[in-house]
Amino acid sequence: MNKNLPLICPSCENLLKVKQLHCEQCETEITGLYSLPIMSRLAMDDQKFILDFIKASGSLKVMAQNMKLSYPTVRNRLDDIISSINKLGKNGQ
Amino acid sequence: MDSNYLINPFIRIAGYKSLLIGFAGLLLVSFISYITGTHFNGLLFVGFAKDSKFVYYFLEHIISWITIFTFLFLSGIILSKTKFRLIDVLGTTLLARLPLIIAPILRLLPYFQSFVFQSWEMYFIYGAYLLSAFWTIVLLFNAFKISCNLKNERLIISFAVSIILSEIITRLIINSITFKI
Repeated sequence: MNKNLPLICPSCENLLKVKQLHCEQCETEITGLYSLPIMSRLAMDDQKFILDFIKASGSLKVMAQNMKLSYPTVRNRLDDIISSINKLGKNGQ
Repeated sequence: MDSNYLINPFIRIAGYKSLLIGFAGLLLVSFISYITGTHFNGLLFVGFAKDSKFVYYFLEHIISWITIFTFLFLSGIILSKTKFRLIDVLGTTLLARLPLIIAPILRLLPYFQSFVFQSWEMYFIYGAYLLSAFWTIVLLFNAFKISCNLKNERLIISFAVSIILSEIITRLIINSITFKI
């Protein structure tokens, strides 16, 4: 089963943070308060786009061919993700 | 067929591909306009007269396309925050003109080859032309939106201004050529 990482508090709709990390092998547990990295705060579709973009060696032309979309459509999608990252970066500070 | 493809094919087609298909379409529209005597004096004006050489019909379409392309491209340079490609604006704006083939094609039918003023044939042809012009404007809007990545009021205002100015310039150029040919 593919579980999605919850990002928003279902009670107050605030952005969630990481409080506990766990090692499955040695059962070590780390407790603290950590912000989620910007990448993990993006929508799943956007995260997949970024991974595909890296796999395509950062070539929008290859991305466009793989996605069967036009070059400007793919470039606009990348621009939207950059804009989201910039917003998250500002909000995170 | 995906209905989205009819109003926004540029999600899948842009660049050289759109330029090649658009240019083939431009030649075809010009040729059918020539044999049916359908003049396009800009995007929003159509006239009927078998009085010119093929090159004149071809020039009407070329001038109209280059003018709207120039205004949209300049608007993109001024307003867009992204790096966009000249070839995408050129190709998509040319492909967007394909619906203009509807009125000349209808005029190939015997009913519409010649008609009297204010007849149903005339209204039918003008109705079909208005529909194709509206479709072309919708396609041009989407071509501009995707090629230059503009949104909201920047997109709507710059597009409206570009269409109005290009219509004025196109008519002026075509009229000046008419007197020379």
